[in-house]
Amino acid sequence: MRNLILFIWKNNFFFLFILLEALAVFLIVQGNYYHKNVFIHSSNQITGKIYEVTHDVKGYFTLNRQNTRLAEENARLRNASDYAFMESALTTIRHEDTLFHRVFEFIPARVISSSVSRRNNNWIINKGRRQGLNEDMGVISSYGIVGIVVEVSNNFSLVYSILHKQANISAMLKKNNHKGFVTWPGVNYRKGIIHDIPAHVNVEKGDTVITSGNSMIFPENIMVGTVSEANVKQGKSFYNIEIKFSEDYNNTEYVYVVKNLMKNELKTLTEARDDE
Amino acid sequence: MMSSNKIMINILRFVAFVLIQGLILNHVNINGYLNPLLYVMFILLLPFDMSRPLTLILAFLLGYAVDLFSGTPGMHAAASVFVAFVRPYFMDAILKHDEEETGNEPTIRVIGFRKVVYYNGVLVLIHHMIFFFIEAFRISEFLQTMVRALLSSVITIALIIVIQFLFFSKSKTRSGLWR
Repeated sequence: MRNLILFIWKNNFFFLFILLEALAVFLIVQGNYYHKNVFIHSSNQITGKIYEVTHDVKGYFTLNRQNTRLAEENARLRNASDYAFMESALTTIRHEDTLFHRVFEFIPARVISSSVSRRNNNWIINKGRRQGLNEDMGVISSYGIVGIVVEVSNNFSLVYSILHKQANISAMLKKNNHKGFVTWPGVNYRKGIIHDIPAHVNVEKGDTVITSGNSMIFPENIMVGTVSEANVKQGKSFYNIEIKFSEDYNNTEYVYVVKNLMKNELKTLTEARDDE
Repeated sequence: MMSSNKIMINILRFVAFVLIQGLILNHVNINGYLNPLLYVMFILLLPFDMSRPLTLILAFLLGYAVDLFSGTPGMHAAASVFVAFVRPYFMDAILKHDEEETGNEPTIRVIGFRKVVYYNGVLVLIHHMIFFFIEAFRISEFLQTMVRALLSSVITIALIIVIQFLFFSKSKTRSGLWR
């Protein structure tokens, strides 16, 4: 025993190296496979604050562009709202609508830390549990989908953007509703891939890809991108389709977090089925 | 042993490198491909006679601090600790004994331009390779990861050499934060 301790003490450099690397590997594994890491709960309050301060400064440089974007979106929303339409006949009667039930709620947020240059781009937004956010909520912007919330602290949230190794988003072709899923192969942050579109379907360059609404995370009809390349390899039964994202993730600033108000109901339904 | 002045300078460097990496370089996006990791220069700049276990611990803390900013738990820490581990062996291999004077740091003034390029080049390359391969963690993306690591290393090394020329080339004439 004494010899062993002496041996370790003599080689303390090597053993400390092994110990620290083991600690790092532990952090990596824990951080990657279970999102329940203490990491973000404690430290993100600090780094989150620093990001927010620097972002407040940086925000001024992009004000023009962001304002244009928000104005465009406001215009679109005004066009869709009630007062943009005139009643076509005097006989129409307005009444409380009991046929439709609200499913999605949108919470506005700002991206305070983002990147597009890494293989796994984790973003941080400035809303958290206190503002009603929770894990597994979708994040969209005015031009398209952005990602999924994976961790929330009191005032900030960690978002896996679609530019992530584990991104896997249910999507479909707008013109014929054929469903597949979108992933990001890395390198170019403007381009993604949609898998599982069968070879007999007619796909052309420029076709629109939207979310399918299958996942409970995103509503249906949220823009994902447009097809930029499509071909079927000899003997394969599925397409190779490259898409160009509609959102330019390099300048995403204002986003909306999507809260599915019926998620619990859907979840208990599917779980009840699984239990049988 | 380090003088208290040296310790202060190194603490300032630590904070400066973490902030530069976390707030600026992590958001620099060159071609959607390159991500220079300049913070590793902190480890490479530690004095020759720095206690080896202490170097490891500093490297871990540095990597972990950058991890906090990047949202990549443990990845930068793993790469940094490895660099801190190889550094003394590599220094012994390429430097002459009289160059490894007490308290000196491996700068252009002390070991000369050629050795600075060699020393920083190899260690930065090792660091970037480890980091980018841990980050991707897929054999199917081998080539792409390789290219990313290589090109990012080139940029980091270039930045290090520029900083070496700006702050470490002349002897006592210039004073400032970095000395």
